[in-house]
Amino acid sequence: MWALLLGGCARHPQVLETHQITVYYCKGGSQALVPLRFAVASKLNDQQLAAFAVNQLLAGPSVLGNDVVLFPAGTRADVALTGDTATVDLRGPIADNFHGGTSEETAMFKSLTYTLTGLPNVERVQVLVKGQRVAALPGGQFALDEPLTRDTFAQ
Amino acid sequence: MTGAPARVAVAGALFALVGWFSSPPALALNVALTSSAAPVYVAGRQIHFDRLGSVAGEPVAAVADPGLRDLLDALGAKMTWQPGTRFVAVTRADGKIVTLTVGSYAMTVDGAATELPLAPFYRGADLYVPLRPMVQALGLDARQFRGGYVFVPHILSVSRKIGLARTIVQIDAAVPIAWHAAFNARRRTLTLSFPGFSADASEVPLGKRDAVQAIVRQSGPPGFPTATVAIQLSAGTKFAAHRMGSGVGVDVVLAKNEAALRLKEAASPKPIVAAPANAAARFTSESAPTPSAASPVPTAQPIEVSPAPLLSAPLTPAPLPSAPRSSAIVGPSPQPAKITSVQVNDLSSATRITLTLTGSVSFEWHRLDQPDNRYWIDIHGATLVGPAQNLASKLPFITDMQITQHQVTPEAIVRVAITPSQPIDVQVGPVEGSLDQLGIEIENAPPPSDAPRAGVGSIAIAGTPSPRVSAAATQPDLIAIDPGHGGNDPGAINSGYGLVEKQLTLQLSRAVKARLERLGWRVVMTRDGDNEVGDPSGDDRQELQARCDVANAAGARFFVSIHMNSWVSSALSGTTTYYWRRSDRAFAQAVETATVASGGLANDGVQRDDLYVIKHTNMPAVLVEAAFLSNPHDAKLLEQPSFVAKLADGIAGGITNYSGGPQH
Repeated sequence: MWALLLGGCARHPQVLETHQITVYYCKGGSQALVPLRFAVASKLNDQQLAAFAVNQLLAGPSVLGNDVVLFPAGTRADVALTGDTATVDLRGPIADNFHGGTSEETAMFKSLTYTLTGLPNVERVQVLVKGQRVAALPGGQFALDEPLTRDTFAQ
Repeated sequence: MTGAPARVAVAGALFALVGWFSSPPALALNVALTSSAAPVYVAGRQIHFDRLGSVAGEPVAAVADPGLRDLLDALGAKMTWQPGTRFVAVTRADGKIVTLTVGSYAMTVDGAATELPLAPFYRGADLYVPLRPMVQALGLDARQFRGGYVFVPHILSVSRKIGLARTIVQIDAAVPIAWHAAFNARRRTLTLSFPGFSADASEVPLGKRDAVQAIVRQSGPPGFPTATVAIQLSAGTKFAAHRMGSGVGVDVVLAKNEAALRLKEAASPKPIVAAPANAAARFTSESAPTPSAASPVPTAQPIEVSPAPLLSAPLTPAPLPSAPRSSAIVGPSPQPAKITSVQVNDLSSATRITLTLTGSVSFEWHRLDQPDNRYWIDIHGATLVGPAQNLASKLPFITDMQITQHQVTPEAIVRVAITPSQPIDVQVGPVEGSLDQLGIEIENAPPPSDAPRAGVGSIAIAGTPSPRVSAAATQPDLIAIDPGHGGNDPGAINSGYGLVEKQLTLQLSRAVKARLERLGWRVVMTRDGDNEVGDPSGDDRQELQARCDVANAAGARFFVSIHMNSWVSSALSGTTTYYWRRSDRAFAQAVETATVASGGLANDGVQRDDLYVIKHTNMPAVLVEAAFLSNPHDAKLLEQPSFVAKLADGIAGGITNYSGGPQH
């Protein structure tokens, strides 16, 4: 945790305690993850922090560049924390049909898992689609029947 | 021989009955018979004929051919024919009779006449019958399939009987049915699926009191389809499924109160009864002892098991107890289920062992033939709470019964071993009114001489992970090829080049299949058309699991799923082969190396990845992403059939390099 001076109004500067979180995007030209750090107000609880991180991931990298977010445009997610498991309920076009390849799908869930398990107190990520536990995305191959951990992606 | 005059009389009557469309009897010497090597498959299993022939394109088989006998055995049908006689009668498993007569274009099925494309004829001492209409009369769909024939059992009818207290949905087939039942409590849908069966799509309204309607559908590849009957229940309806008295159909009983679920004809019915409010029960079975003739209605578990091992590959003879055939059961539940109680109840002529479980398990059973007669059930993924026990039965024909923790690692296995003093028949399945009990009922009756000697099954307990689908014994010359996507799932699309992943995966898979067959392999495809493999209205789990089920049920030695990759930009190109189990890495490497060598695309290497179909298949499994649709270089090549052929050469070569070739 570290302090960050936020501009806000020049006459009334505020000092906020912040968390630093890391969101993993993907390199456009390879399947490698690219970590980007964000500062988040520390009054967020763990669940709000997780939701923030996921929404930040879905929103895409904050600077123009070669990095990409692999979740299709219009993807929405509800995030809940139970114990050390973050549950991410996907909605939007991705919940109806996924047309990407295995490389895309794997890197997408890897970026989500790395982002969430980088938070304190999150070890596992359970992905739901429209509130249901599923085998995979509709049209997808990547197994979502069990919670994901960083070990899922270990070679 | 007292039966002979009657038989002749029946044959004569047939001539009279159907003479109006009979053509002149075919003279044996005039028939142009050519021998045929066309393969014949029944529910994914090849049946070898010694004397298969063809007359004007119509397949014919000698009635004495062992292949025809195998086919009939698999269907539970019996043929009556004496060499030199003109009349052939086949008794179906449901008791209906099919007759054919030498020289006659008429065939009767349960008394009704149908026309044959050619008449049965003699060639030398061999009587030949037209194969296709005969198997159709036995309740199978017959299709031409790549130079051969595929015969698939058919759901003949789904009908209803609405009574005062209950509604009965009758699902009828001419061959013994094995089924899976699953209940979705939230949607109040009871789905019975019949792997290996075809069905005509229909809707049967059920009057709304107990249920709304039954929807009948068929899905999957033509050679191994799955028929499903989904019954939409009304609120508060309970259900039970009973094997019909004929032994080949299913009666699904729907009622508001439990007493009405019992069928009268069952002496002591033990239906699996599920209350929709808390139910998520599922029971699957592959093969089990045939109910003996002395007990026409199985009473222990009306959600029953197939009397004939039709839908799985032939079971290998049971090994000795010291070396159980572990290949039949794969994948225990992640957390072993506990067996918390063991009860023994003696009935008048049977003993019932009831095991209470805390989680889902799969099981396999074996029996030894006379004079040993021992029988044992291995419950995989289970631990026994408490010490090993001798189970006491007062019945005289049981010498000894024991339950022991047979093995702890690498997989927990509890064994129930039964030593009888004479042949016994044993039923294994879920227990009435209970969603957490496994019942074993031992009857004082010899199993039929042709009953299987081993089988597998599973029982899922609500709220715990399902055990993986049990599988057939491994076929050393069989490869499962899974063309990715299909039907309403196109996969990746490159509209600029007009490329659709589901089309390319099928094109490439067919080419791989052709090459594998040239190399001496047999191939089972999860799909061979533009269709889903599972129920098209089912969810993704059902679809992906259906692909695994095809391979698992067929007992394939290897599984290869074929896909085309895609990326958000055109940056990536090349071939990648994925594996999940670390033991499959070398297999993936062999396929990757050969595919890259033949196709010439960039070698993106092998990658471990959590992909459903390579995780839930029981055999070594890989998924090949042959090329990137999103890359212009790869896409341009994919437009050329010669390039797809090269990829196919590579994939087939990689499988063969790794495996050393098919074993026959």
